[in-house]
Amino acid sequence: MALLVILELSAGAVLALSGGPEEGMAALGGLPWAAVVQIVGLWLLPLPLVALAYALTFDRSGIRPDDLESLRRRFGSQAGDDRGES
Amino acid sequence: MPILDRPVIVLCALLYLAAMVAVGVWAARRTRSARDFFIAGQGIGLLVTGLATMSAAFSGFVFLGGPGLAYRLGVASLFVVLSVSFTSGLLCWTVGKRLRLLAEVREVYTVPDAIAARFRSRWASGLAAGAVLAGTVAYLGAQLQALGIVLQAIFGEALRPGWLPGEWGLPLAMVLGVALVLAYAVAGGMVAGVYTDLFQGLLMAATGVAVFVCAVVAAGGPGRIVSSIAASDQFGARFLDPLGTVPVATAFGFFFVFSVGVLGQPQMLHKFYMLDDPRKLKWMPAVIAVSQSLCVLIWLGVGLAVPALVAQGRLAPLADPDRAAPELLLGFAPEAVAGLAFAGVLAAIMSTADSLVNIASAALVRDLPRAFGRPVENELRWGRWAVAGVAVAAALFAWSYGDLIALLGTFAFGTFAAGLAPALAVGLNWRRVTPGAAVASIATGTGLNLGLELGGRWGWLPEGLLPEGVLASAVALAASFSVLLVWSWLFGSADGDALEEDVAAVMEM
Repeated sequence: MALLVILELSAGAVLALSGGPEEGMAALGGLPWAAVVQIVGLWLLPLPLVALAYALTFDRSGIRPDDLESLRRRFGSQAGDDRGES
Repeated sequence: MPILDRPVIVLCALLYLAAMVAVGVWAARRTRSARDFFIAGQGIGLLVTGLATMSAAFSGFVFLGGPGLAYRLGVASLFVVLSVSFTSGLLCWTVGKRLRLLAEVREVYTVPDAIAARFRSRWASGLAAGAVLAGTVAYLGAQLQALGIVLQAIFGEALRPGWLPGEWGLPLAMVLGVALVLAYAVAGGMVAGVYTDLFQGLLMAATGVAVFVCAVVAAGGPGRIVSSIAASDQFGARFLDPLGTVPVATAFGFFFVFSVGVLGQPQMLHKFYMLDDPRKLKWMPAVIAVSQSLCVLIWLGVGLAVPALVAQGRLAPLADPDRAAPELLLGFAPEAVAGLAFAGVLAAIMSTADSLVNIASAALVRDLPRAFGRPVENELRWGRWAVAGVAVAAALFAWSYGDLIALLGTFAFGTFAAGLAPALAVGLNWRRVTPGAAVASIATGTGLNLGLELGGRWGWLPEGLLPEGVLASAVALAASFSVLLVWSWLFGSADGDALEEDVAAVMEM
């Protein structure tokens, strides 16, 4: 949800800031504000947010060890049989 | 500048190519079964799988095509690539986890295998194989075009015999590229690909950083780059505006296709089967996103530095934007950096090309015959032959397409996306999706993308069929999702009665 908010706010800001008068638009190192928002909001900010959120919630909502073990116990031999393993 | 005056670059390229051939030969001895050939024996760890996924996704498209597209479109081109910050998380969350778990309970080597397991429909898996094949020919074509440009840049006129006209230089280099890819991929299959991907991925990331620094320094630093571009007649301030050179529909169309479309890229999805332990997916988004972001630096750095150098009068305007990266490396980079970079670019191209020919051969000798109920007896042997046919078809297609690498790559990416993303991303997570919905979605997405793009490009469709700036791939992807959702809502049952017990268990986790 946080990711969607960031992406939507960034896209909205890019739309709002693009195509304005050239004077007074320069932000970081002369790059227009719209480009700065594009790079920060769509790239640099979501990167750590998504990677960390995924890793930190993985044990709860990703693959739990017990669930994996149970899946292997119930159906694991099928895959081995398909491959000709014993 | 004659390339033989830059011996370090030639040496780096030759060393890289020799190493890849050696790995191909070595890997061929370790490839004993179809399982080895297609999914590297399902015994690969987190770092190698993550870097293999990154290097399969990032290719000549990013390393040559990206700077080329940036030279033509400016900062707007970044809409193609900035979504790497979150797409790996999206991929693992919606599709990667399911595919890897499916490999625990089924013999699945390919994306059509997963479609067949989920929907129990030969039509769905056969159409998926067709989409894979169509996208692969286009994507591999982009790699071969990039490989031709790199080989030309490195070896120059030394490649072309004197009796052959100059305009045949690129096709000849592409033929050489086909031979290289075949020598590498036919011998080793995915074992060759994966065992070199760790090295290639690291080389690509190092190249991204080194070339970015080099490009920014060569063009006088960030401030001078921006001011040169803004003050030039050729580029101007609009070049630095994200919506300055393209309609809004194009910019956000790029972002939509590349952020959502990642869910249908078989060259990436294929890698999830290889991971030795599903629990290692935990840090997969971090590995992929960080390594991809390092590679994106080359797009950003070269994409802005080359226009700045042209604006400063230090580089002649480029007739072919795809030569932006080679021009910068040959003219402005220290020889050692250029050598590393050319090896890195070759690594990017070869690793993706290897994955693609492997996937295409699987579609031809495994997925399509099974969909028709006629499985091939010796998939390993026929898989190697299929690779050759696909590579030749890809080279011919790229030659007839005749546009920037990035645009050919966008079309290919869009073909995979529109054909496969809805059936995989929604189908593996929502029990209500029916086999009929999957068939309709794959057929709609693939057919629309091929029809709109090729029909428009080759003049078979009336002008103005699509509003100005609207991407064919974005329309096809949106239509494919819509068909799947509406069909499932209308005709699907909430308990997903077509599911087998093991597949249902995978979808519940």
